Amino acid sequence: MALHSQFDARTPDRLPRGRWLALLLLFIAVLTVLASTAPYEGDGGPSRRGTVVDQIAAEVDNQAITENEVEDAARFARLSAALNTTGAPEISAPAPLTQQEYGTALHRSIDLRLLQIQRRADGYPAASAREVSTQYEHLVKLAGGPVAWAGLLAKYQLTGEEVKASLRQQLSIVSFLNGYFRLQLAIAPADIQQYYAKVFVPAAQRQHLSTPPLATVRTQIREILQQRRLQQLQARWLTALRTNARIQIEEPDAPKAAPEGAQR
Amino acid sequence: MGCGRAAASLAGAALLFTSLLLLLAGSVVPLCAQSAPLVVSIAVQPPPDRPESQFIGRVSQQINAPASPVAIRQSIERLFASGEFATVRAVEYPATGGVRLVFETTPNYFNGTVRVFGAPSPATDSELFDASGLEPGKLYSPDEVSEAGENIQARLRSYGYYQAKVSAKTVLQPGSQARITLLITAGPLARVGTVRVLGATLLPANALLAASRLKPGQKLTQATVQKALSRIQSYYAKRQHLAARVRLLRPQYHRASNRADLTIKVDAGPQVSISAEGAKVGRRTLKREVPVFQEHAADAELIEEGRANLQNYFQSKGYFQARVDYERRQPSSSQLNIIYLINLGPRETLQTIRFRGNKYFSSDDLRDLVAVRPESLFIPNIIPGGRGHFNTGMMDDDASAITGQYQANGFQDVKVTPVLNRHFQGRKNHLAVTYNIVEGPQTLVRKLAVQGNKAVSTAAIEGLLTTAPQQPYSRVNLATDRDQVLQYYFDHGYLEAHCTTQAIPVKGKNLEDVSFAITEGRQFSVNNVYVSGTRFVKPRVVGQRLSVQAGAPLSQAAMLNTQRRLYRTGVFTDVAVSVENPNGMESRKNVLVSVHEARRYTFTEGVGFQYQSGAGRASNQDLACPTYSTATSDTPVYQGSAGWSPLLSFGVTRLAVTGRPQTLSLDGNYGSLHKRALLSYDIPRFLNDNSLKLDATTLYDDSYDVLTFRAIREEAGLQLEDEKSHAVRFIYHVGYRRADVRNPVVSPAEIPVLSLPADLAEASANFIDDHRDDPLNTHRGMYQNAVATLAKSFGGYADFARFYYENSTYYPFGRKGKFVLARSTRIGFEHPFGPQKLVSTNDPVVNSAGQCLNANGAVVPCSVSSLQYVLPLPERFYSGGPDSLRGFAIDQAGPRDPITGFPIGGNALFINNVEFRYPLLGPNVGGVLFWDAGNVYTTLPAVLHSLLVFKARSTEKPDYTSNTLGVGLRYNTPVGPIRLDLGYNLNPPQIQNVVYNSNCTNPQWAPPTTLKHWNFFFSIGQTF
Repeated sequence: MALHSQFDARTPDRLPRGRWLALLLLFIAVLTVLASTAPYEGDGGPSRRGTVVDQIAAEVDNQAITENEVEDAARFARLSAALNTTGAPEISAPAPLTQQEYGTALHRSIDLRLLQIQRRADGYPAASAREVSTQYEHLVKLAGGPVAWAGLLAKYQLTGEEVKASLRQQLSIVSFLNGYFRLQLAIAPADIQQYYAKVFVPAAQRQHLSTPPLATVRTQIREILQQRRLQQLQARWLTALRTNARIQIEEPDAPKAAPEGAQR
Repeated sequence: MGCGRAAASLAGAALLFTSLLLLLAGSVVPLCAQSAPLVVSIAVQPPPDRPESQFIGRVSQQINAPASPVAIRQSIERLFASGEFATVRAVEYPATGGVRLVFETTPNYFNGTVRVFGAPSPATDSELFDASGLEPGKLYSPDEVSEAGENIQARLRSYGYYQAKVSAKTVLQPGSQARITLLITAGPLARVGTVRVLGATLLPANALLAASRLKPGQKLTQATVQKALSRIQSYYAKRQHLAARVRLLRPQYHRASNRADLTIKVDAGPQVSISAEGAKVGRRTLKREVPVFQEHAADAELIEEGRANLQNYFQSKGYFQARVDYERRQPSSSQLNIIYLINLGPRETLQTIRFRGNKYFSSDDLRDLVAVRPESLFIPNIIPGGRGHFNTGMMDDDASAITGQYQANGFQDVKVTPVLNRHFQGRKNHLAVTYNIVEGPQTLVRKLAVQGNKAVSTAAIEGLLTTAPQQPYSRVNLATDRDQVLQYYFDHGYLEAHCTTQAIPVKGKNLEDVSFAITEGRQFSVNNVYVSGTRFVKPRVVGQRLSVQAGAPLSQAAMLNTQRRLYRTGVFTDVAVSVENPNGMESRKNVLVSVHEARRYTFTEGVGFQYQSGAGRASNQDLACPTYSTATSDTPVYQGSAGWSPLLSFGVTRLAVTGRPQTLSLDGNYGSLHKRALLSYDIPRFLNDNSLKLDATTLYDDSYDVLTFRAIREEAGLQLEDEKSHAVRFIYHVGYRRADVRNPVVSPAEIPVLSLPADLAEASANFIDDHRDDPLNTHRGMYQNAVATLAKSFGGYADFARFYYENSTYYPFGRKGKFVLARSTRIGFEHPFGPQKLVSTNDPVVNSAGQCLNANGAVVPCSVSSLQYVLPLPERFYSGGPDSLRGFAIDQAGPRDPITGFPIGGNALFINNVEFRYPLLGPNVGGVLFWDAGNVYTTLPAVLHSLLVFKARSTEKPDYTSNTLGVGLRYNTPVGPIRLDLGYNLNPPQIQNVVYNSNCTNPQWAPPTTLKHWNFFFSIGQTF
């Protein structure tokens, strides 16, 4: 039976409840669409509230770090973690960023900004486009190819440009730190010997693995020790930089009050 | 029913679902996976005092392009980096065809005026402001204001104010200024509580406490504590504990009692004995040369410094080969002996230093470079430096200095070899040093290039440089030129400018190619100028003196000039000109001018006594009898008798009268001998003209020449000074002067000329042209001064016109212009007109026949009367003394009264001084040979007729020209040279006057007396 005949045949003195509800919802929906497409009447218009698309999350020595930058950093961390697992990562719907992830990314961004300020002050060059693209291609390969990579980017709400920007920043910092601490990364043979004897060999024995001679693992042990030392030096330096820098973290969405004690 | 109902339900559900979808679509922020909205317009919310256009260029997001998170992020970062904003956020508003992107901001505030009130003595408001750490122009921060309060409290605690409170009030003003006021409530000054001494004292604590003189209940001030510590230090030093350490630990303050317990920590150290072996060294010399005594420490550094000082000391006395070493002997932990071992060597004299082979620099120029000095003819050998300054190390250093000077002027291959001759002219211990110089070729500049300049033309930059093609190449000039270029850019707002120089030698030739590479950077300009701190002074007083202007390039020179001009008004004690947000990226900067007005009223007062000396009278002298009867005219009998009286002095000054930099002041003395009041009103920058200055003065002066007469002087005058240039000034003066003599008990001729009655009004114009290098002690230049006066006298005196002209020139010659030939010519004349007076001259000397006799014994009429133009005595020309003719005492030159013999001045003046000035002993002691010629004459024609007249023809024709030769000594001081002059008058005048017997009767002519030839003067400043 055609829908319209039922309507034609009925002489309604009252619409059914479901239909009223549907009409009401439709009316609301139309109003909403009209409101969202109406022209902007200017600031202060009580019926026109803007949408904050970005704002300052933290200040480091008179330089701003925006919320988008922090969120991108958090998503990039997620992407990196996903790529670091064995096998091609699965693509599934992403969960919203947690407060902890945001906080971690914020402090990480502050650290990177502090190091970037030092790098620029020392005149250390940024990573070259070739270095960045090499690393980018490596990530694409890790992801399982361009298609999978595009899906990952979409999943973590990142663009290729944003990933390259993050890579450029991180490669520049790493290169700067290696150069800055180069002389302090020399590892003494005695330290390698000690690590081999006290850490490497017992670990191999616990896992019932054969213990290769020191000469064959010397290089790897040296890299491990250098990495550790670099981390220690970096941590100590960052602590000092943070102490001497002017860092202010903005409370999200809190209105900016006038300075305390001030009169206007 | 079932199908229809089902269909209706289905339709309803579909409608519901669609509606929900649409509802969601209107409110969900587009995800990154969705297409970004189109930005149709962009706005930036600027700070209140700046236009949006200044910031829109920092936005990276493009209009009519999709919103890019990266571009928006960069825009926020760049806007924030300008330093003008505390927060920046990007907000999208729906608009037709897309979104409107607005960067909403909160402005930063910057420290504007910072005021401190309530500083307790001895602290001052400005000192506590410095202690606060707040800087005008820097970013305002409530935390820093709190910290400022704490800093002030810490400073006040050091002054003994432990209960001081600091309250801060901030007012945010338009233009992003934060006006901060810090109000101090000092509270009571703390008192000393208990005092104890700790540590390795080695001496009884009560003795140390007694030496410190600290007592409980005493006011606890910084000075009290420092003096106490110093006394303890001296106590130890007297007991040979030269290295004792005395310090105050942190006081323990008790709020309830407002007392602070003091703990003094002492480390006495060993007893230190310092002595010398190998040569005799006085105790005073040891104390002066060995810093262990002053520094209260005996560490190796100070002992070594003492060694070097002693060595220099002996070398300066002629022991050029002297060597000093030292030994430390410590027989026990409580005793340290330091012995300086001295090996003097022979005593030598450096006779001369010579230069051979120098052409580019003269020997005189090179002599100024070297530290080695030969013996001085004028310094005795017993005085340090008398035998010269020399040792081989100095000689080698001097050779290096000469080499460096040549190389800096392009002589890259110069060779300087010093040669020491220890038997100069065959005499033992007589040294001579010769510097043999092979200059080599001089390098010239081949090409000069200037690169990188865009805003400033190459021609303008080359105009600043001394380096130029075909000129000698000099590293020194190159560095100076670079600084000149940078200074030029800084003064035109290019604060980020850089300039590097490069000099590339041309191979095979003595040529260099020089280039200047300039990076201009951004030009900074002034956005607005904000003035704060004026309270009573009108704001336009500041406004008229601003060299920084809105829109102009930001120039350090303009800021300094503004500060200087405001200080010169004299109404501000503190002027700070600073840049707001100096570290911000914004190129348009606000400039803050913050002033602190001086106290408007200043009071000075003093109490003392006044003593007036004079030549005493003979004991049997009758006051009614003319005192000139008992003395010749050159004794200053008219100075009155000695006497004294208490004296009260006072002064009040009011600055910023009517809010302008005008000053009203009243100064005066009050005593039984002298009463004086001077009221003056100064208006600098009269009629808003920087070159005009107007002064109005009124004087009342009432002085007693003790027991002799009372002189009252009243004057009022108006003076306008027009400074045409640094050298040329015009001064216009109108005034009224009245001087009256009361109760004289001496003949009017005995009253000092300036105190004789005079009543006149005058107008004068003065032209001054001063091109001297130093008005206090001139070595070169020219000075001329011309004054024309028109006066109206009252009381029967004649009116007169007076003209005076002075011209002085100074010619340096000799090495470095050390000799100066100075000359000065002064000429003046007066032309009386108007009423004439009947003047009678009564001759008191009579013979037995009752006939009057003149000084030559001839019979003359007893009374001669005639109508004459009589000028008031103080208005006539006088001369004589240290500043004019040094062959006479003060004002003793010129015509004299035929009866009393006192000088009565003349209507014309001519003085010519010539001096030969030369150095005598170093830069501060000099000598002078002088010749003074001239006199005061009766008329102007008499000057011309008497220039070559060596002796006065008669008392009726007294005009002649005196000549004085003399020598002098000068000792330079910051306020001018102290002067001793001894002049020998070749032709002093003869004086005759009438004398009486002891009963004051029987007047007779005294035998003629010639004024003394020799005159001695002691004063400050050159003669001319």
